[in-house]
Amino acid sequence: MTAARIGIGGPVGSGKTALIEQLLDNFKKKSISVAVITNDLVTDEDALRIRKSGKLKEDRVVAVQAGACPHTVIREDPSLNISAADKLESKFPDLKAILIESGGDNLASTFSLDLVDWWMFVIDVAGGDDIPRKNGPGVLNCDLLVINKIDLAPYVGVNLEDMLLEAKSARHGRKVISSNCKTGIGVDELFSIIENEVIFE
Amino acid sequence: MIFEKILGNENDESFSEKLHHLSHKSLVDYIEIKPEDSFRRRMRMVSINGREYKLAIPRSQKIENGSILWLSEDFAVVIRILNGPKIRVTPKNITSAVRLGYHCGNLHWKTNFIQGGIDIILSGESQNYFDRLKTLEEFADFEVEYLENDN
Ligand SMILES: Nc1nc2c(ncn2[C@@H]2O[C@H](COP(=O)(O)OP(=O)(O)OP(=O)(O)O)[C@@H](O)[C@H]2O)c(=O)[nH]1
Ligand SMILES: [Mg+2]
Repeated sequence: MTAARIGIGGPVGSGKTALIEQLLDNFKKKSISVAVITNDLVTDEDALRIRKSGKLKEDRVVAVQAGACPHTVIREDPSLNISAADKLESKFPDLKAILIESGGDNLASTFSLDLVDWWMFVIDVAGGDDIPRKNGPGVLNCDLLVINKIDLAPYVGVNLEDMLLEAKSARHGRKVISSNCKTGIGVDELFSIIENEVIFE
Repeated sequence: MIFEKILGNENDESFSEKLHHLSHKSLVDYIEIKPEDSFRRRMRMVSINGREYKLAIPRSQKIENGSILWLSEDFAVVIRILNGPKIRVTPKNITSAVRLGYHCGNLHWKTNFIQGGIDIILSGESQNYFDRLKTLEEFADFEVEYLENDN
């Protein structure tokens, strides 16, 4: 069977790489073979960070440089990422999942379903509780909306419960989850959603 | 049950007779897919008989209306792509037509070109599309018509 391709998008600094680092522990615990593709503007920063974390063999982390607006390589012309994913799949025939992190972008960024099978959009509490109300295509169209950094809510004057309710209403009941990627709160639940919806293990 | 490849289409001559036979005995299970999900290669699906299936087809394949996922002597599984609602936009002149095409492209809308206009394939709320078309009214002259799905 092909490896599931899972997209992770969202604004700059919302915690996409931190979420991947957390998820890698879950993949390890369950012995599910995984690889990661990071997208940065003109560096390999995120890939280097994941390699350094020691959570995944170094050759299972690949960097794609977008060169321009990050959404261009996950939506308009995702061929760089598709080719990176194809190469990973032929190099590691046991792969069950490939996590593809988009470079930090704006609320309009969405993944092409030619590139990924399923994608999540990570926003964070510190970005403001009005973000879900702004009906950005990323927030509305993703398969799962992740509201990260819930630990910061008291410091930025955000009522998390209200923010979650507004997000669910903007998404007409489609899935929304909250997390703290520093401590791992919410990550197990998120992992079981991924397992159930696209990994099929 | 996981389907890992598309075997063919119900319109292929090599399959049509066999499928016809099975469908007379109600031995064909149909899976209805929303238009926006027809681009997926991997997903969970529920058939009209309530059976749960999984799809994990190669990147080189794409489901279409009539795609056959299973075919044996006594059972078949076939895809039905639903016709979702559409917004038909008819520009009144060439300048408006160019503006309109550019606008739809900028917004990454899925469209079908038809004689004299564009059909916009909706995903999510239709109001979002009407709102965006409204912002174009100042620059282009066009008619907008909402078409219910015709399944
Ligand atoms: N307090 C808190 N900090 C977090 C959380 N998740 C991530 N961070 C921190 O937020 C900062 C940005 O996290 P990253 O994982 O680099 O974010 P990113 O979305 O990958 O960023 P880009 O790839 O640059 O867009 C880092 O300093 C993280 O340690 C969280 O849940 N709570
Ligand atoms: Mg990152």
